[in-house]
Amino acid sequence: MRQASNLIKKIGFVSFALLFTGGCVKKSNEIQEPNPTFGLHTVAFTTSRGSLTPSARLRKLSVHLRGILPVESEYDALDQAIAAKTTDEFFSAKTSEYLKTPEYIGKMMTRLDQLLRMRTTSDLPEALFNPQSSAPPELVNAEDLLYYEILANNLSWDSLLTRKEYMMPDPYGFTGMVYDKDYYQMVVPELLSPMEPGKLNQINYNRIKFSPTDPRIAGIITTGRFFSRYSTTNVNRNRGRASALFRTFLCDDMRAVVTPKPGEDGDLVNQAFPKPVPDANHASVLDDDPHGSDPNCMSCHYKLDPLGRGFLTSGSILSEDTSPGVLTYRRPTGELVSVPGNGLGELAEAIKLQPEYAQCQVMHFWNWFIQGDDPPTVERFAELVKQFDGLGHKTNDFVAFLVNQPEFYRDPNIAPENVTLVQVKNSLQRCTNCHAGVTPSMGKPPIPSFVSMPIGSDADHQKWVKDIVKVLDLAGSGENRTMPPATSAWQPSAEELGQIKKWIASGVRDESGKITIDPKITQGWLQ
Amino acid sequence: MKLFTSWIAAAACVVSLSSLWAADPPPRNKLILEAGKTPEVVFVDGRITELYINRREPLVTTMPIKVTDNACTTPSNIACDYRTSLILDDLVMIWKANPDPTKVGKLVMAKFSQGGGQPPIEFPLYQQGLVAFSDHGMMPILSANLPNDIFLCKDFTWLPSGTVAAPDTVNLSRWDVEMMMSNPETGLMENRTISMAMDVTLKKNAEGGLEIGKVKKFLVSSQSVINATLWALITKNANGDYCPITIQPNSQAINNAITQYQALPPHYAGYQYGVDEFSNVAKPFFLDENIFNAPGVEFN
Repeated sequence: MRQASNLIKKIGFVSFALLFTGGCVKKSNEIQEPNPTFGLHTVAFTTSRGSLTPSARLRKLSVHLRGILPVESEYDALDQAIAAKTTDEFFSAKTSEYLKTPEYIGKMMTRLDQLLRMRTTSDLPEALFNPQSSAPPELVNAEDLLYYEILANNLSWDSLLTRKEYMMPDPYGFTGMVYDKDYYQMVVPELLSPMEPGKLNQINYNRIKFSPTDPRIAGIITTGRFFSRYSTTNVNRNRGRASALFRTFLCDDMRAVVTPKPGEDGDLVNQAFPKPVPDANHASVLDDDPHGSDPNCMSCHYKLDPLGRGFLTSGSILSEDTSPGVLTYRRPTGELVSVPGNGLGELAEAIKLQPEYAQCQVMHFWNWFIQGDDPPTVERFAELVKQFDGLGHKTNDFVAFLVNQPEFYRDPNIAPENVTLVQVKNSLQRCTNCHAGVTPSMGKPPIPSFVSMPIGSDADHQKWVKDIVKVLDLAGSGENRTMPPATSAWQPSAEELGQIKKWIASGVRDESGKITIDPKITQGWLQ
Repeated sequence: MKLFTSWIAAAACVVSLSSLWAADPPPRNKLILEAGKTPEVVFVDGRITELYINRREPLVTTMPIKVTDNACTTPSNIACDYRTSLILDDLVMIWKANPDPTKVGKLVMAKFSQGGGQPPIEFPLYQQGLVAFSDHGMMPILSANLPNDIFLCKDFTWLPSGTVAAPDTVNLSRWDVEMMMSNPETGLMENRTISMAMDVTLKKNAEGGLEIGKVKKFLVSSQSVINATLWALITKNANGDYCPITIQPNSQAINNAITQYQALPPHYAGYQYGVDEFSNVAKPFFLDENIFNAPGVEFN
């Protein structure tokens, strides 16, 4: 489906470009400046009050929800709504419309893959959206379809963590390591029954439902793809899986920042490494374990080990047996949270009930849709969390709420700070290092150094900077970047992307601070 | 989405129209499979290949293993042996009829061009079939002569029972193997766990070792057991706590034994289709008519 969305984007872009070359320039109620970068519809971005103009807001809404630009008729409809003084109703209806599109689902699925640090290449079958489709089935799996069901059916966002129901394609459902049928074979043996002859080329969707209280099952956590992404090892002992849960659902980046207070080490050690009952033959393994006493190690291990134990019965596939674990972490106030759970299902429920969970999820949405360089104030953030709770955590309802907030349609304020090449050189050097070893494909020019101004040559400089904007998705959130490749060990952080964006917005200044491209031009590329 | 659907429909229309003008399909090389007979490929040009097999007797060998860790107790480097058995058979496609008489009885080679100035890829139609204890369920005929594998230790205190002698039974909820491989989500090489078997019962045997008895589910071939860098056995102690046990197998010893085993003189004979699981479960890749009709592939 994301492939389909891309195709639609391409087709949309071609139509757009054709109309533009036909010389048709739309009139708008707004003050406009010639801006050939955006083709047909020239968009003024900012009102005198610092909010986006309605057409810029429409554009932002469309890009953020669907990843594509609005079409010309939508701008016409907006003009009519403005004239009729029904702009708010227009945006409300437009939001509802966009939230029902496959492109929205595709874009959110990409965000979810990135949130969980998965690859973002899988596509949803066309048939899910169009039963009459003759498009061939594509490889998807239970995790993809969990995303899909949450988004297509406006389910609670908590389903991501706690749902006990999966849809999976049969005979597909490949996760890159195991098939869904193999992953669930111990808990749903009947999944392995052979397919009826004559139906081998027909894609079917199995739906498996577990009891709402089944302690073994926990949404995205108990999918083959999650297990495969966060494989356990003898050394790792499920800490990678536990870390992914802390990071994704509690926004704990696992930095070693919490050092137990004096006198509390013993409690934490017991939480992390409960001692086996001693006997005559065996001493405790903890006696020689430096992790048991080093505060720096313990600042992560006291959380990861107890939660990781919840995965203990499952290696690469889901076990029919649960393993007890403990959700343990210390709040910034110093309070120690400690909730036992017999199995991943119970542990996921425990996570969901923590106040940090809702706050963390709201922050994800904030980052996706508001993308603020300025985080919300404490009071504002509390309001948003309250709203998230008030909406029952319904995914699309909260998205609709968020994109109609003033922060969404305020001036993006990419006004340049004077960032120079010096500040972005390290990041760009990484790009250059990697490309230096690559032979360009036939007919394509060699890729120049990005840390020498001008890039390539005077004639090519603008082109290369535009390419950087494009491949790093600097006009968007950076989520849809195509470089560095997903397989690259280095991925730019949000801060690095932000610096590059500011560098370009401030005129691609060289190391001496000299502007190499008019900022009016570069800021247009970033819109 | 509508645009995409229209595009698909248009493409389908073009495909269906083009089929109206298509000529008769060219004759195909035929793979002939008849129960009890040797599979043959009859080429359109009259050449014929047939499937031969070199069957070996089971290899019973012992691999040193070292128990390095039990998360619930502290055994330190307890050395044991792991007795395993396996069969390695060779399956080959050889020329039965060829205009070049020197090729008759020789291995069939497949060759195809990679294009782009790259040298062509050439490979033999040969496949080795490994059968081991984990195949009792999926390949009962081929594994019928393989005894169960056994843990042989002078000291079994690494088990939760804590006794030097082997307990009567031990249940392993999981038996994982660890190998270096690519993470499909990140593309990075890393140590990864593959669940090899689930719900394994070990039973004390006459030698005082622990023999693999009942296994609820084998998930991967025992080939990965042999080549694993590490095994992790998960079992429960008397308190009901799960205790991961780490074992380092020494695959060098078993690989040496396999090398000698493979060096024994082969005795090739025509494979009788349908007699065992090489006809279905562990079918060699070239027992597929499409291989012999793949565009651009030559067979010499």
